[in-house]
Amino acid sequence: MAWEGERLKALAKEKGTSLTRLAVLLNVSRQTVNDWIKGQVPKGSHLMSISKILDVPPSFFFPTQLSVNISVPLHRKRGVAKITEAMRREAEGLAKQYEKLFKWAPDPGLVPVLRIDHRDRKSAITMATTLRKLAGIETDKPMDYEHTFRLLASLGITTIFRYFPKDIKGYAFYCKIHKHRVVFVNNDTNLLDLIFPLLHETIHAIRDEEDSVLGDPDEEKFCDMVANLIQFPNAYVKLVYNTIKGRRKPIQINLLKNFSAENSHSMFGIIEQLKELTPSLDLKVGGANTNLKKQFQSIGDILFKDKDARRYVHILRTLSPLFIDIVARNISKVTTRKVGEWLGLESQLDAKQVIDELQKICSGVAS
Amino acid sequence: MNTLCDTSSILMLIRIAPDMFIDHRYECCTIRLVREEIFRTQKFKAKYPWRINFKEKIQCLPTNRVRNDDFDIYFDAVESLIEHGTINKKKGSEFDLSYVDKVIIACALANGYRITTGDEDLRTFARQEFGNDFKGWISPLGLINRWIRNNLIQWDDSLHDYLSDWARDDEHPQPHRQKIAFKELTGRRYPGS
Repeated sequence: MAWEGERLKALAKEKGTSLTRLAVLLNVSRQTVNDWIKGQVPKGSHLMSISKILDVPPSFFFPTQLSVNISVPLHRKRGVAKITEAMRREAEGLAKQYEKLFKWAPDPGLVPVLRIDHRDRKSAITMATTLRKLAGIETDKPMDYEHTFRLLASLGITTIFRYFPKDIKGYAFYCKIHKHRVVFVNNDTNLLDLIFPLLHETIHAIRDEEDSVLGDPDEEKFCDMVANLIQFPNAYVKLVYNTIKGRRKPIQINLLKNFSAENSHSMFGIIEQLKELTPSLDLKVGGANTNLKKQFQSIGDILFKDKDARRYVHILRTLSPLFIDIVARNISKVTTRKVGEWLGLESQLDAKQVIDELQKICSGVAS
Repeated sequence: MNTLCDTSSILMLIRIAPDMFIDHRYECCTIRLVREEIFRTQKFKAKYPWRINFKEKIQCLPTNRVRNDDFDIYFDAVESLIEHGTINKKKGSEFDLSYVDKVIIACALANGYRITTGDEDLRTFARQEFGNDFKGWISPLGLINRWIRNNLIQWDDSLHDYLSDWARDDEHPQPHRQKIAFKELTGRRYPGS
């Protein structure tokens, strides 16, 4: 985020306010305005006055190298949440907290990009098969959360765990900060709800070379399709299908619940896939899925279990190796509080204790 | 004029004046985020175990008072300046403020509140960047002196014990002139640094 004085000159012209007039309104000299245009950052009080006179937010003059795209996968959204302006703003606010960190981080360098001309099922299957191999998962098993995070890391995606502000009614969102692919994960997300949105955001991340595709409904559908196929391989879907076929609905629901519990996935996800085989499938699993979720923790519960700093760092290193490496390299540049903010420790752990653990990693990085 | 209290100042003062947010004569207020920080932060559980007894006493400004139109612009300005890397002219290093600090500054500026805090970065930033709009800062000891002068609190051994805890808890040093004023008002030496 850098001050761009030229924006002041251009905006004043656009609004029909001469620079001399602007100087008078701000009660400063014309030279001061010139200095701002040349790059000197105004004091906060002047910045406020400029914003009010020219009717733009102060951040207008500090363009960011940040692009935030939030998507709420259609069948996994929280309640009836839609992407609102407040949600976008909060997500951008969250992402902005990391701008400096990623500015200091080494360039991402060579990263895989998914290029597909036809967003059809055949392409989606090909893509899903490749990505499952990359995650190192067995052929016929649904993806679990550990494999999912491994996939993200292998694609050069940095995962950041935070408790989302309440306006962000989503499980995860993707953004790009200083060319780094970043996926934010809401710590409150139940493990059953987590895998699909994570995979969905992963597809966004590796399809990110053209901004125009982000937010496109067809693209959202394609990301959903690939994410579902990654999570549920064909062999598994067929196994479930053959098991429930011809049974009464309550039995079908019970069997689905057992499959879901055993393989740590939501019932909604597998039903989406079963519908590819039997479009008429009509099972109401809301209640059963809610009960099932009670057996699973949130990702935040896993991260902060026992409130133990060493354990936390160990788990974070497993789930998000890229993030922990970047943070460990930069802890000496900021205060304890800022490190706590980056890690989203909030009330969960003492940042000082976590920093001590990170410093051990840091010495490892140095050696 | 109301004084907006941050987390550290509340933890220093609430045992000395439990009604500081209830009795308007104390002229103190705080925000929901600060209250949440006090009761949720892990390290406070061990350092200030008594804080739980004051849960009902820490009453906050309603959200619509905090987040008015001016608040949004001030917050955006504060955040932009911090993220840009504004230099603390006293120290020569970049300011580093937490999200809650930024909200406190924006709220104080938007509502014309004075701030009480032990955090030097927070008050230096407000004064350096918003000199004309910033209504100033008062130290926690300065507030105590004011309350004694206004007969809101009667200084005794138990209150002095709480003050002694500031040194033990490694709280921020208090201004010299407030230490002198404290001695004049109570006849006792300020026990901390």
